[in-house]
Amino acid sequence: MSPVPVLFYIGEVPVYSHGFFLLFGLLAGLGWLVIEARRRRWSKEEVIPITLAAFVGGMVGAKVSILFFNGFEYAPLVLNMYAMFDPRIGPGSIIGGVVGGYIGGYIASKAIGKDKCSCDAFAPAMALATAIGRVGCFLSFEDGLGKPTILPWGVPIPGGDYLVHPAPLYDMAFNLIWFGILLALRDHKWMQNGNLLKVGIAGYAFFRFFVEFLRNNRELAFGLTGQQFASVALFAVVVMYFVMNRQKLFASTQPA
Amino acid sequence: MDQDGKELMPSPNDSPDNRPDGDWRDFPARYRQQILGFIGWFVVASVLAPISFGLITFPGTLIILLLLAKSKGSKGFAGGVLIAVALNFVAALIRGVSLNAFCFIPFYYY
Repeated sequence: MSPVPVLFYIGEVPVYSHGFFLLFGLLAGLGWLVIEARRRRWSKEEVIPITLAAFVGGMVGAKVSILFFNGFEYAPLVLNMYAMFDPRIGPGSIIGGVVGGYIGGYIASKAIGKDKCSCDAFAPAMALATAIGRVGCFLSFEDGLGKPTILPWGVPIPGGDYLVHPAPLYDMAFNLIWFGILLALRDHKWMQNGNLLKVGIAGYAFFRFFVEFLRNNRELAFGLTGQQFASVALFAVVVMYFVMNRQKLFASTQPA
Repeated sequence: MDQDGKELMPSPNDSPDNRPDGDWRDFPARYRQQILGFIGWFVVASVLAPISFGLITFPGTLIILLLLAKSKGSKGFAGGVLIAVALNFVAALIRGVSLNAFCFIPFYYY
């Protein structure tokens, strides 16, 4: 398998697989969010500002987290507002995007005075968007395909005579399965008021921690990458939230 | 005050009831704020662009967004700024389809 950085041409203009699937993934996620929001009867006065804030927070978080993951030499790129809008510079890290999106959405929901959280609509949409976006990462052979492997599904890298893990496809497969699981869980009585979103984020963080061992990201300390530290932190925060709120969570689901 | 220094009295024809349908003054306040926030961000960002290299605009935008979103009477401005920033990101994503965007990582080739 060789990389497919350009999917097709429209006239003279190339359509790159990475950018195409990134945009397609975000649009698919947005589409699913609209479907979920309607199903949950989430008013547009709340959906629009929270989604906008989550989008902006996600884009900012994805870029700023690069400082933590890749080092402060990237500061001129990720702390510069105008470079943030430079389409030649990639979107950044999904983990950072998830954290930034959550913070942005949370701030917006508080700003509009929302009492209870309808943000569970985001959970399956995020998994779907990530799954689609990862196709572009794989086709363009970007985002650190993976470490060398002798497994039969390993892919050859350009200029090398060995196979590597198709790590973006692992991510895609997990997110497709996770999307299905989140859909199955979305009406569960314990998975309301933001709990489904928290479980969705924790699930991805749990998976990401392990798949990072097969990727080529920079190790920060103890043989772990920045993404792994962030994944552990995210997972721990969600688990702590559920442990600390278990009484309230259980009580709120008891029949009156 | 008018040019001659006289107090301008509101015209009887200026009352909301006498305005034609779609008059901009009848927009709800939040929409007016959103429009001003939207345009205001572009104006300020354009002015700061040559002198700040974006390093003032970025934290400045975030701080202003938070302050506007927190204060009761100016959430509409925050909405306008948010839409302006989101629009820039959307434009970057669309343009990124025809440009080979990198993900900040070392690559095997290029």
